[in-house]
Amino acid sequence: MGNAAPPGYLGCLSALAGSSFASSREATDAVLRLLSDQLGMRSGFLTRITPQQNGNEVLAAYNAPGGCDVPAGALLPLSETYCSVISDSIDLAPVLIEATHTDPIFRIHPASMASPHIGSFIGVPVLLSDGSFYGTLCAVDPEPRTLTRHQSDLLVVLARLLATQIERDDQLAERRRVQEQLLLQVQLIEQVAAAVIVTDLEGRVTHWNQHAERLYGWSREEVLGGNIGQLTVGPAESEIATEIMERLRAGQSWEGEFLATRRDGSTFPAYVTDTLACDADGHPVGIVGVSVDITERERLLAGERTAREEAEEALRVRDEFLSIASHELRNPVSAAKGSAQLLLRSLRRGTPDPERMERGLGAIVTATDRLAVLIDDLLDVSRLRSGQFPMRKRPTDLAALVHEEAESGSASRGTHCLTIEGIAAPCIATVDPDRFRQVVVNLLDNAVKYSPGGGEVRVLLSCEPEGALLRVEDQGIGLPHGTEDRIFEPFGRAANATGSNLPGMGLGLYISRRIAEAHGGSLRAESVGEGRGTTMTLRLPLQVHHDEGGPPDGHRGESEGRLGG
Amino acid sequence: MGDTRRVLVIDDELGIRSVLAEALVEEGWEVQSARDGREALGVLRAWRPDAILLDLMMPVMDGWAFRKAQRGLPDGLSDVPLIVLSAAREVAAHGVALGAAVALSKPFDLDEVFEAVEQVLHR
Repeated sequence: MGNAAPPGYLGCLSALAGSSFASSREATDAVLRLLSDQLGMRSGFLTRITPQQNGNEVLAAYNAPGGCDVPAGALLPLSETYCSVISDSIDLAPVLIEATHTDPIFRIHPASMASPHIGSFIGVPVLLSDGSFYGTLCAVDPEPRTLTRHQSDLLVVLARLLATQIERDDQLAERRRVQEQLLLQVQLIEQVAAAVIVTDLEGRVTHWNQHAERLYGWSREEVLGGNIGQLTVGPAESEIATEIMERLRAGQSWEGEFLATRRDGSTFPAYVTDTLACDADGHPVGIVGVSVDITERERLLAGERTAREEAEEALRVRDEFLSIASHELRNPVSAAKGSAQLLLRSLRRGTPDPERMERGLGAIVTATDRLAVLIDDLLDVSRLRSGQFPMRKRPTDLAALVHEEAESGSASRGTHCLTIEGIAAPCIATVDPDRFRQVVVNLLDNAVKYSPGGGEVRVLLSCEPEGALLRVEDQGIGLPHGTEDRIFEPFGRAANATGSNLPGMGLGLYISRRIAEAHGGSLRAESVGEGRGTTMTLRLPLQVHHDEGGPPDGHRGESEGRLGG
Repeated sequence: MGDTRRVLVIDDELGIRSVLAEALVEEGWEVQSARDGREALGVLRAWRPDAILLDLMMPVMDGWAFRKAQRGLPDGLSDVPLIVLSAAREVAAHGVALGAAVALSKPFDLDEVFEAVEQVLHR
């Protein structure tokens, strides 16, 4: 044999060059077959070698009939194969063994023992472009063969070809894997319930997720390439926007609340986190901004704040009420105790003076009477507040009740002239008689109490089918402007009342108004001014009739009653 | 005049004013009363007590406002010792805050009141 390559090789190579294969596998198989044919060796293999695991994996195999029949996928112990001769050698040179069993070096090689069916072997390393050792391209035959340099040259060329293919396949696989990961990440970003916006370092939008579309009102197509500053930053936040860019330029991230602007110009409070996105070498390539709409959160917080403020106010009001109530109760107790102690002292001294005793005991009675009233009022207020103010409503003759109270009233009305109108005919409405009486007594007592100079007290009861109206007028100290409502608050006595040192805790009107309201009605006070008297009007928009089954408008006359003098 | 010791009683409750006045007069003190801080200031224009029994919760001018006003009074009236007598909670704390000599809560014990007045007058 000369130095020229056998004529068939070129044909083989050009055949390969001209072919296109559906897959790498097909190409590899074609190469092996061609190889086997050209070399006259009945089996050809591409193997991958993993020296640490002593592994020699047959990746692809061609076995002609009569060949050594080693299938693709076989995993052999490297040390028991002739491939190890390649991998063991320092220069990774081709290995040619013409007769394995009679060769002086190789007949004692472990492979000779392990693979007695192999008579001849020719193999070259498959080297990747970075010089790393991948595996072998080899051909074997059961019979000894004559092996030439040209044959190993062909193998080397084919091995390079296969190496390129292997690398390309790996790259493709890697790219596919990366793409899949990217796809997964994109899907994740899309599904995240936050707006994820990615821009380049100048703020031009490169990514705008679904939530961003929803939140800001811009669709992805509209914003890609646009400047984030012009899209989501309103004039109010331009300062913060500048600060954010500065921090990012300094390599830091920014996090905080931001008033973001939507496409339609409306704003919403957002919580924003802006960070730099860097490449593998740590160079910033863009900015990732994640923003969430915190309107709900703000609303909840504001709601909580209001609720808390209201609760605190309610507590404060209650504390004030309790404080005043305790003061009001302790004073008469103190007066009674003081009187009792004084009398005891005079008894012990042996100087009981009947006049003093009379006075002192009288004071105790007055104080305890007052206490009783205060306690009742406080209990009423307490019940009103807790909603346990039971009303036992039944048809009641309001006229008779008013008449009763006006005529029989307490001694305190002795100095006043009482005029009553509108009580001649019955005025029947469904009310709680005890509570209604409570209101009438309260109004009459107040009229007398707050006109200490005497004068006339006019009482008018008006009875229409749509409702009843009770008006009580006095000519007393009146009400300063603006206090007409305050007097109905617990302890809300007008300044001029407390100034003239009139007794009373200031709960009566509060209770009376609540009773009126519990009947669906109202209680109002009017006064022309201080010193000009007061008019109290109780409205009860209830069905009223003049007697059971009687004519709707009975005779109504006027009746006057005079008390005392 | 001379030895007679004087006490000003300031309280919005008529029953308390009369009890205290009667008790103190019985023990030989001279007593004037007022129903609120403003009336009390009026009394102080013409009459100088040796001690003041002061209620805190009163209309028109309460005990705290009175104390503030008292500090600005001339002729040593600002130094007339106070005995706070109140239904308010934390009477003692208020007493300290007001610079009172003694603080008593309501309902009071007459003997306590006498003791307090004696104590204050013998400073």
